[in-house]
Amino acid sequence: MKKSERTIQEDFRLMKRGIREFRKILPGQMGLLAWKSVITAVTPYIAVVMSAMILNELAGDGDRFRLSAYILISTGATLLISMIGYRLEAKLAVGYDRLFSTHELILTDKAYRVPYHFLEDETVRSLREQVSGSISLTGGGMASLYWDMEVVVKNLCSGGIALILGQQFLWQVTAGVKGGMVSGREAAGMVLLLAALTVVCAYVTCRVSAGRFRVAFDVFAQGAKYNRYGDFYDLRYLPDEDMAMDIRIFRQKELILRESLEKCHRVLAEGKVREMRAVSRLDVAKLLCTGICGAAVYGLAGFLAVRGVIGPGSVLLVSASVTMLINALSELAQIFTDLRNNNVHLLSYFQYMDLEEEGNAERRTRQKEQGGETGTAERKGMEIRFEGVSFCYPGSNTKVLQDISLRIQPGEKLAIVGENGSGKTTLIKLLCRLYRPAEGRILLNGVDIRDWPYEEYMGMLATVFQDFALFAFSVAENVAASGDYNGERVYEALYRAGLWDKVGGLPKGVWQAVTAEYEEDGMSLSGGEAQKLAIARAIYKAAPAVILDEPTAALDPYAEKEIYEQFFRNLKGETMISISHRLSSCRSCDRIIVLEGGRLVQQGSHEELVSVKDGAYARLWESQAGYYCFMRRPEGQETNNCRKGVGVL
Amino acid sequence: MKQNLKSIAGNFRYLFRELYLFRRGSVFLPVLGSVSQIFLSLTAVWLPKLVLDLVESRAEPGVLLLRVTSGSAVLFAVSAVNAVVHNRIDSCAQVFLYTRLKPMWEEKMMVLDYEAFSSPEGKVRAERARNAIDSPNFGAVTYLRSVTELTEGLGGLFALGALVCMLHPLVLAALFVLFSVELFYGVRSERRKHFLQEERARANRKLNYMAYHTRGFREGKDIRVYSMTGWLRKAAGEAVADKDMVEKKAARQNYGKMVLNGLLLFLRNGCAYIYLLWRFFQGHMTIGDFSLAFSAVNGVGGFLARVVQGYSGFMESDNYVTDFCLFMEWNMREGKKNPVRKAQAVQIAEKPVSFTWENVSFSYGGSDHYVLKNVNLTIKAGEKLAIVGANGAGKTTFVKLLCGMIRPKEGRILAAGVDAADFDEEEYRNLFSAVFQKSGVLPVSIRDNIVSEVRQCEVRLGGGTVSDKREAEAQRLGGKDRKSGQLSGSRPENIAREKRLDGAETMPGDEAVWRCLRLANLEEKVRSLPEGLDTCLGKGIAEHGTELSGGQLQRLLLARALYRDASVLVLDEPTAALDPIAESEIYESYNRLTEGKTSVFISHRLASTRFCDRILVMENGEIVESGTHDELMMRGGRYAEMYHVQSRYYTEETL
Repeated sequence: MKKSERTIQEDFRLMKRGIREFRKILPGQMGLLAWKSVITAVTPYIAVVMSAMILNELAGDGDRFRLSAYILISTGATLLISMIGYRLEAKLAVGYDRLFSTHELILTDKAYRVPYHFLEDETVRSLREQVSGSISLTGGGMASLYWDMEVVVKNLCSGGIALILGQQFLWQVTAGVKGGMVSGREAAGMVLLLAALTVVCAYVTCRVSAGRFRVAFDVFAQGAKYNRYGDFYDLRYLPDEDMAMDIRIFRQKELILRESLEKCHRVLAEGKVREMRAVSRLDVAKLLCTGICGAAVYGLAGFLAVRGVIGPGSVLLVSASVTMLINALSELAQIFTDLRNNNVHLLSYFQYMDLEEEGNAERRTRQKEQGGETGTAERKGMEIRFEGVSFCYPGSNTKVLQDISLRIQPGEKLAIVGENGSGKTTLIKLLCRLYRPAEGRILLNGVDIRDWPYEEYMGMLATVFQDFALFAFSVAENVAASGDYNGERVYEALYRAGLWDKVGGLPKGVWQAVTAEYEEDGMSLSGGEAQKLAIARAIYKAAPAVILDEPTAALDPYAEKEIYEQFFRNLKGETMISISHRLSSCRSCDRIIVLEGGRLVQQGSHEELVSVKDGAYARLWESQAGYYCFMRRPEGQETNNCRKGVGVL
Repeated sequence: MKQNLKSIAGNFRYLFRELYLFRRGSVFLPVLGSVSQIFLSLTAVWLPKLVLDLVESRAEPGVLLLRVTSGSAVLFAVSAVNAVVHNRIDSCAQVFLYTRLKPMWEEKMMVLDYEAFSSPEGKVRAERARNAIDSPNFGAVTYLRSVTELTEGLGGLFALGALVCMLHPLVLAALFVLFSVELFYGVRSERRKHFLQEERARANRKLNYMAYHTRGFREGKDIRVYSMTGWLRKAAGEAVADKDMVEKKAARQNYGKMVLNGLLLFLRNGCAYIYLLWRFFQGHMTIGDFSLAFSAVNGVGGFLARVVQGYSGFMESDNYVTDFCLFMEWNMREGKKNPVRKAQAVQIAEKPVSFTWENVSFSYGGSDHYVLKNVNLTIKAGEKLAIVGANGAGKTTFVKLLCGMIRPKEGRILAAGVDAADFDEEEYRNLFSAVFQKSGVLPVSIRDNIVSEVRQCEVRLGGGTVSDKREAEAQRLGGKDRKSGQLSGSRPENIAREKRLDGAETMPGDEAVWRCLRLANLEEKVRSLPEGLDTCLGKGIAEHGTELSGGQLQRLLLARALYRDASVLVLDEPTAALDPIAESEIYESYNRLTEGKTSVFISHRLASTRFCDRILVMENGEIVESGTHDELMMRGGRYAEMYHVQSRYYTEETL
């Protein structure tokens, strides 16, 4: 067995914490399970003991009264105890089925609370996958802890009873020696031999079965990695309608079959075969061991029975007790190794659950220094300042943003433009406190945004991200981003986002779910409709700052125009920051900033920027507007009335 | 019921046929498993009797030891065989699942007719089939196991039943009466469980949605900015409560059944003891016989329960297999009656192709809402066509029809004068290359992403189709099958070739890849990557996957489309994610990209259409205008109006 680096004490501490935290997953279940295990351990002994007594009685006096009593005890006690067992089982069944999903739910709940950049961080993501995978693939981690508890309790009980029965057997043998049925030396030898055999057999069995776990552990340690491929192809790529066209046009079939087989299915299959081979070998070894032991026990106990030291029924009882004792010992040893190994999973579970949470760590000391200054944002009076902000994504050295200094006036309409990869979206992410600047700081009304109370700060922003997400609940809940909503405001937001016509026509109106993932009768939204819904959500929020990251990419020109007009018309002094590839939308903004390679290279109004020949903005503008400007209007008049510098075409 | 039996038999045939093809020996595993299990249980009840008889006859220590040892040896042998076979059954089922059933499903997903694939029915079927083969622990994978369990149960019942019958036939009859009661209630509760199934599925879906679908970083942003944590947590709590409610109901039902079973067990054992005691005192039995008989009665009970369990387990996995079979056998393509000969198709593909649409109409499924109505159109060979229109005007449907993804409900489409329906589907699709609106990349190298199709040729050249390879693969995994050595040994050159190809740094044909990357303006970027064309894409899936930005992705897709070098190029909104400069670069090279090809360009941005010979304006599934930009502007119709909307932002007067 792989030597663990932890001491036994540490392992126990981990298990203890695991048991404590398991309460969050399935409250009360651990205790019920322990009781259930006691019942499972006791039940078989009743039948074994009672039938031994019946057989002994038959071989002896054959007293009918005693026999009937034994039968009654045997069947009655079994009935009683199994009834208790059923009760417990019924209670256990309620939680059991959702063990995995509740576990996942707890992890997801944690994901809501960690700082956002953890979600994009590769190491945290793989940690999460490891934790999820450990339970869903191998039943490891918390699940293992839960199941192992059952085994531990059961075998402790079972072994204990077997020992008590063994003691009974010893008394009988002592009585036999006293009665002269067997010599003291013979008896001592036999008892010692029996004990030795039991111990050896238990030892070998548990050594052998530890190997079984090691194999399973090795095989699935890497499982998550392979499953990612399988899940990608089987859950995402192949069922996708759009990808299906790619597959068919580009004939990706063979490539995909090869990839999914080699990178996922075959590796998993090979792992299973390896596991099976090892398990079979170990099983046979274990059976051989118990076989030898069993033969010896029958032989010795049989010999004692022939001599009349014990009754014939007791032969079976001794044999059964020894078997159960061996099982209990080996399972205990095995489960102990398993539990210690399982601590690797528990460790990653705790590591994940111990991730720093948003808001806790950030405000810390600074707030004290600055006293009561934070938390007093005057709504609609937001002045945002970037002071020398630089940023690179964790694990990379490329500066996505370099030394950005910028001041956004309250109520200003700011447009951010630039080529792909120039850092526009990153700037937004920093402003939304999803990432922290590597250098410099961002101030809101003179206070570092990190020192604002998290919820309050977030409450001031209504952002429509490029890759926004909708949730599988009703339209109204999505618009309000909450389970409680104001119907009138929902209507207004939908109306202003140009989605009311669609929603009004739904069978369940605003109560219709937006995808079928949660409710069966969920509708499916087109890209444009989804985008409008995301915009409606921003409108509903009525925050003092509106941030739009390419909100109209999936919309056709009509919808685009409509949305922009709605937005501008309805702004009541809110600050608005927007990113768009369609420069046309920037013209209505107070100021435009141009990013290039992470630097702020130009800023000013449209007129100012376009007049800078060969400026970054002018280039962008020309490339896009040019097409529209050279053409003719239906009236036939030249419409080469674009801004200066349009003579490109 | 008859239908049911037929489907059970059909499933059995289907799966065992596949299993036989997969690995011949596997089909005997269930038989072997049941035989060994039956012997095991017989030995297990016989051994105590042996010991008891020896004790009762006061056997000599030597005899005692010998007999007991040989008895134990038999028990060991039988149980060892049993364990090995059962392990083998489990692993065989999983290997079969991974290397046969899953690839089968994947292949079906990719060869299924697109229209069927994208229909609601297709999606349901595909999803159900996927669900059936999803887990290595439940679903179709349990079929082999449950078949074994069922035969085991029946066989064991028969063997022990015979033993009990020797006691007295009436005992067996009594056992069956008790069993019938149990079965009756068992079936009833199974049926009730079935009613709960739907409720349970709904609860699970909600729970899984909350647990698995709200955890990503895409959701993470909105969750934080819109402070949704409280809401989502509440929803999660509700989902858990729903789930518990269903499970409570199920547990309550199950509890009743279990209590009944407990009572019946009490009755059975009590009666058995009393009867056996009576027999014993009549002097017909030894203690060994008594013990054997009691174990046999118990054993019959055990096997009866096993049969019930085996049956419900079998039915459950049979349902999964039905889901799988239904999908696999659904919409099998029939051979074309008059396929255009391959040579002719190739000939057509060599030149720019012209298309003629004759009264083409299309609606999805059985709906009478026509997405396209009566489209008549001729696309000249080599023409550059642009299609504009609002969302939902039918542009994408147009593209799907053109590419042969879906077929007209009315009318027909002719390619180079030949009805598209007469082509072999593959051959027809060979005419096209495309960048679709939502194309994506695979988590493979940039090279493989671009040349996906050529790979296939390599495989073909190598001599084996994928399904052959799969069989060889399976046999390899099977290990000891002697056939496998021959199979893979017969194509060593195939393996060698593949290895060489995978290991090589540059491959033949890379120049063509670079050329396409250059055309798509991505060459520089790819050259700057340390691994060049071998750079793996698919961040989060491949271990060192690289993520491309939206613009780079679009360019890669363009390069892929160019590499395919088909005679028709379809570009569906290829510039939506590009910045203005990248967009204009593509427009400027458009003529170069489409040289010698028929091309169809779909865009929201009307500016792009000026590179095209002709513009079609679509509205509500109809072509409402057609002509050059100037013609359409002169007409002052829909196009002029749309153009006005878009261009006004760029022009001065409207400010």
